[in-house]
Amino acid sequence: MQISIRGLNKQYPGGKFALKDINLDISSGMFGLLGPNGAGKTTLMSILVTLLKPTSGDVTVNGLDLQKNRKQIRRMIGYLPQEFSVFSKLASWEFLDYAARMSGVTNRGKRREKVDQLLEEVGLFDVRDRWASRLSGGMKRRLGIAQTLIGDPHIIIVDEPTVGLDPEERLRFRNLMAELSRKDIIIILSTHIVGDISSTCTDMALLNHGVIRFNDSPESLVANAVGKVWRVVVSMAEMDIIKEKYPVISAIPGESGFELRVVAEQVEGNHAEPLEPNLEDAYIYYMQSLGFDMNLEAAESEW
Amino acid sequence: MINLSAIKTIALYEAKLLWRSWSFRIFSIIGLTVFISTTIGIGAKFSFSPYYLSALSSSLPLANVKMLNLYQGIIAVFMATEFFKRDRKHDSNQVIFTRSYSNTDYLLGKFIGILFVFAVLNILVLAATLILHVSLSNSPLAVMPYLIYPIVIGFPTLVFMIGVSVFLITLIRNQAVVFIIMLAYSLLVMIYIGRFLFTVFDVYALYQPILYSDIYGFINLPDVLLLRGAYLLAGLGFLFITVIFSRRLSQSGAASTIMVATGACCIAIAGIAATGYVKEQFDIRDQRTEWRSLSQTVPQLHPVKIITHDISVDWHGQTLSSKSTITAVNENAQPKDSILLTLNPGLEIASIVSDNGREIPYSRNEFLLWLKPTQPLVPNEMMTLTISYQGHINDNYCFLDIENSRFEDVLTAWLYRIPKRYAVVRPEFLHLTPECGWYPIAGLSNGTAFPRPNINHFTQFSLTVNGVPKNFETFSQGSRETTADNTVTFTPDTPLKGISLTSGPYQCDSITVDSIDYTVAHFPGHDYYREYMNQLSDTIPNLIRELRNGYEVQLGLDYPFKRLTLVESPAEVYAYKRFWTTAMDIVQPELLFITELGVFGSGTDFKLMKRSSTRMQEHSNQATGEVETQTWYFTNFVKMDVLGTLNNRWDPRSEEDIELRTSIACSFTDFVTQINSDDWAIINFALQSAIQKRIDPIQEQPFWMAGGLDDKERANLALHDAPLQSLIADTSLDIDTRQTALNSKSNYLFLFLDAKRESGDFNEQLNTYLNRHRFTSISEDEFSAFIDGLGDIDFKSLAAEWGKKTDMPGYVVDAVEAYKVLDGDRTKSQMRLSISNPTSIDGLVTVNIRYQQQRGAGRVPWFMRGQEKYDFTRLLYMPAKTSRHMGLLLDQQPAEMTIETLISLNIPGDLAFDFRRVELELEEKRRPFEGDSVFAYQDEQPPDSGEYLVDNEDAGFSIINTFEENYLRRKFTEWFDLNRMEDKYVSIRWWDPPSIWMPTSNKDFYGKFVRSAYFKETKDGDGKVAWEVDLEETGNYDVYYHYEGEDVVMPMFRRRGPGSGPPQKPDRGELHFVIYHEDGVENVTLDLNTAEAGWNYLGTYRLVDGVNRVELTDKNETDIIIADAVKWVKR
Repeated sequence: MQISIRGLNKQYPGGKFALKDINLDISSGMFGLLGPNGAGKTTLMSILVTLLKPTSGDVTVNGLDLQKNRKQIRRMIGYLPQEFSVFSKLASWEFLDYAARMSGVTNRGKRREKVDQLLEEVGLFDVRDRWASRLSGGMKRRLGIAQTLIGDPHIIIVDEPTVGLDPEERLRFRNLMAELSRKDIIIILSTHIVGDISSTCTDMALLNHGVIRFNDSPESLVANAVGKVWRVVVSMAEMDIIKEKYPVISAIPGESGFELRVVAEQVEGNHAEPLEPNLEDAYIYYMQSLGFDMNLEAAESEW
Repeated sequence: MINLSAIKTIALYEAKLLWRSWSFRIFSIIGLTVFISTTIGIGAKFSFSPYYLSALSSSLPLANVKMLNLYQGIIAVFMATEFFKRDRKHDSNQVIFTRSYSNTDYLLGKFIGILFVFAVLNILVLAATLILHVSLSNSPLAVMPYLIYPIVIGFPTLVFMIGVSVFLITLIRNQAVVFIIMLAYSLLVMIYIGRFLFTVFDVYALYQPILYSDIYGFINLPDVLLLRGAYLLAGLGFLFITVIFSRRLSQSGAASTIMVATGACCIAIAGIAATGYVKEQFDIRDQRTEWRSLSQTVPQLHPVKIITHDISVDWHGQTLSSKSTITAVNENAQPKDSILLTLNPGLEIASIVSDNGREIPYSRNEFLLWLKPTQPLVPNEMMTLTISYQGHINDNYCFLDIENSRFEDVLTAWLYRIPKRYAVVRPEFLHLTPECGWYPIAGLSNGTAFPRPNINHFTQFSLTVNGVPKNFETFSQGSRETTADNTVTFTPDTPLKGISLTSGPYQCDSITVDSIDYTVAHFPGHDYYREYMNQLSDTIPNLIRELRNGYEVQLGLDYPFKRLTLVESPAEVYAYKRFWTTAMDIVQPELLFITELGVFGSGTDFKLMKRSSTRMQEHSNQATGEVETQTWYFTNFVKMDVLGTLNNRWDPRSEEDIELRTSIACSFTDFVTQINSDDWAIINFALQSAIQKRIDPIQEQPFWMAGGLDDKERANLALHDAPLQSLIADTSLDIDTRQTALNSKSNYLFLFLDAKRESGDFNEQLNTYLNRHRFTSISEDEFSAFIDGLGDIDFKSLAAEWGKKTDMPGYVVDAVEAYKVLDGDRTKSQMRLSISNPTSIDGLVTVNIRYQQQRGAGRVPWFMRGQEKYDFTRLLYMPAKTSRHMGLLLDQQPAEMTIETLISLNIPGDLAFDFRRVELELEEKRRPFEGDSVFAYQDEQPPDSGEYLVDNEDAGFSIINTFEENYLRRKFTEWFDLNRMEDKYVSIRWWDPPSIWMPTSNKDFYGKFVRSAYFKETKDGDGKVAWEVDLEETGNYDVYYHYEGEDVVMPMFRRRGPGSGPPQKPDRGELHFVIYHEDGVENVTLDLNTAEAGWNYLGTYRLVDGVNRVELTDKNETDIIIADAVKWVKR
């Protein structure tokens, strides 16, 4: 499977670009689309799932033009939108049945089998008759995943799938994604949470202000940040000064003050120990290096 | 291109979602509850609802479908907009949107889903109705209406409302706005535009005539399909077009294009269909106008007289082919070189041959058929010819004299709108009356000739009918014979003016009483009346005999035929009552057509009669035998619907639809008697009308109307302005006024002849003459000679003057007394009164008395009580400037006395005196007095008595200040016809008095001939009236005001009879006067709670000579203020 995006623009009536000159090649495997809120991820996802028309540019899926072959391309897609809500008056199995019928599973027996299997896989079999509106947030999201998978799609597009999930649900979701990514399909995972990407993605892109800032493997993003992550131990008073100067990834209170994880070319004035960077450090570093002020307080709370 | 599986899935899940939504469930539950209750309310045997609401087999489903249609139409807008609005709000739809299917699939799926759920609701409602129909109702069951109505009425409305709503919501994207637009449209349809342009805007089919008959389905099927189909297509069209406005990116451009193109086509076809329908209606209107003008181009001529007419008709389902063999004679003094016949324009002439086999040349122009015999027909020469003709009957040719508005008006009964048909030629039913011109007649038909006089003759007919289906019964005039091959022949016993033909799948019950065959012919299953008359088999011959004899005595004439058949006719069969003839098309010689199941009868509501009879028996604690009760049902029915001697005053339609009232009275008049006149055919009608008057029930104002004008008074006002001759041709006057004017004048003419003949046997002489001259036309000269021979009368000049006269007498009635006296050893009721005619015109009045009704079982309940003839009537000739003192000695106690002033200046025209609440006192000293004395009229008030009087009719009365009438209130009043605001005197709407001073009339107001006053709602005192008098001398004057008493306003409060507790008197408040006098102004109040009816003293004031003034303000604590008359009396 291959998705190719060339010169994609989306301009809103006010003149503002939601997406600007996007060029991406996405192959089978899991592709992570990382970017802060408002970066244009959802717009890009909406274009890929044929909900939105781009202003210009081309998207091809296995050589098929997205604009001209919506019928074929829609058959390949499974989509989980960012704020997935359910039909409140349908039971879980009915919702899946609806999705199954719509993705062309016309045989009743097969459909029932498939629905039960997916309910089993996402751990909702026991609540299959419960009205979707009465499911917990995590359950709803799992139901969303299940409907994404129901037509055996070749392309799965999930938009901010872990927002609002508790850590256990989030882990379960990531495992499910990891399991799926072993098949010959494309999974596009759009998120502003770095943790969603780090574990499983083979390829990724960084999107900010509608522009792709980085497009390579997560490893190469991390490689960029080697030698730029530091451990600094400071007192309470010093911590504020450090925070003002550098992006601080984490602050752990210790006996002799706070142990800070700082992203910077150099940390001046304090004793700083270099640390092995992770994807989050790399993301912060990369964005910082491009001159974007990262709001780490918010990111921290969501991590 | 279309993915059926996707459509099915979307429909299924949309339906599931809608069905599970609370709003829909609540809506459904409310709907079901309301419709079930309504069905029980109108249809159940034990309900008190009027019979016509549920009589027909299709009534209950129709009522429910119509109500549901309105209900679900509005709800569908909400549901559809809600559903489509959701598409934008929910991400759950996004996961569906990204699946592979076209927008067309989605739209259709959603639409079908919504429709499906409403279909289920319809099925539920109709199933419930059907169950109730079977278990609780008396009306016959037919399954087809339950299937057809939702498809024809509900389905197109739903599709249209959903289609347009979805279209608008995708365009406007604001649910509230769309809902308001659609709601406003619905309301407009309901109250206003629904009736416009032949109901073309009536999406709910509220006003469109739709009735499914279990005899032949929809009689106006093309119209029904055209309009309902137009709505269906338009709805689909809008829906299809919505595809291009879909927010979801299309995946099949071709499908969308086809959808939009189809949508546009649908809307275009709908537009063409609706326009076509309207155009067709206009074409009918134009056609009728053209025909009318065509008939006026025919010179007034004496047609040939058709002596015999043998008709042979072959009935081929929707068409006829007939052959008429006619023998005609030229009774005119001049030879005729062209002979005019008329025939329905839908029938084509095949050939016209004379008895020697030669073709007779002719020309045809629409309904006119001009024969051009090679030799002119010389006076008294006879000719025989045979005319062959075939085709269909053009229904629009009927009743050409009926104005467009009345002709186009749909027959309305509650929610039911019934198409009108005058002739029916269908495989399932055949109905032809002379009105439709189904056979050639000589000259013009009466309706076509109107308003010109027309000559009518009696013809000896014979009729042969071929092609009647095996199980059908056929009805016409005369003795009937049916051959083995089902050819039916009729041979009338006497010559007739016309012949009718009706055939259908009838079932008959017959009985012969006193050598007359009585038959009831009904459609299968339409014999609900049996259960109410199952005990009558032994008594029915006697009942019939009594009713017939009583009727003949009342009319003074004998029933002229050997048969009387009551034939059920489908609800659509309709006939107009013409004001210029007593003949009704639904009555034919020997036949009376009763509308399907008696739905529009006044006396066919046996269910209600039974309920009220049971109630009364319980109330009076007296059991009445079943036979007696059933006798009451039977006689009520016969009197109300067959003889026309009784009105059902509670029947809400009896005021409105004069044509729905049936009576065989014309069998005694128009069918057998004809006075032909060249000048003015009205004498013929005057005679018919005067005879009809002998049995006509008395028309009373409904009890909820106080004051105002009735038809007779309106007619008198019109007759005072214009002579009868021009009045009846004045189409700007409403039909009731013209009819009443003609009736009053006719009655007056014959009453006058009666009064003039001193031996008192005028009516006997007339009856004998009429009985002797039946079935033959009488010339005007012959009739005049007969009348002239009765005494000192020149009938021709009397009749000529009668039509031109506008002068009227006026009467003053006073000194009315009622008490008991001893007449020998018997106590009798004595009535005394004085009637004066101060005018210079001779006149007539009748004094009528109704006795107290005996209490007890068998008494007619008040709401079923009709207005039968008075128990006692005396005609009085009142020469100009005379007074008459009169005494009547009655064996029974009077309940009311009514002086009918007939044609007079009096308003009210009938002066009624009510003795029901009065226990008459025995006055032993007074002597009984029976008789009257006439003497010259003396004006009560000499000119120099020092008494000045200003009534609201006088020049001295003026309205100083009034208010603007509330526009909405006035419109409301007009829309619902609550009051006839254009009348000179309006009735007192005590529940909603006007905000301006308006004139009203009532016998309790002051006035010499016109007893009137002004009234309005009470306000803060700014609205004023004034009475101004020009006094000749300065001095002290007593000032009086005339108070009408407490009977005028709110009679409802006083309706309690004796014995049921003291009547509660409502607070009457007080009147606030401003009296101007020499020293200034004084405010005076008159407490109406203590005031007496009549003149009330307001005070004594010193007034200087010249103009003096009294004002009345509109201030009062009650709702209504009335201003009548003021009197100044010099001390």
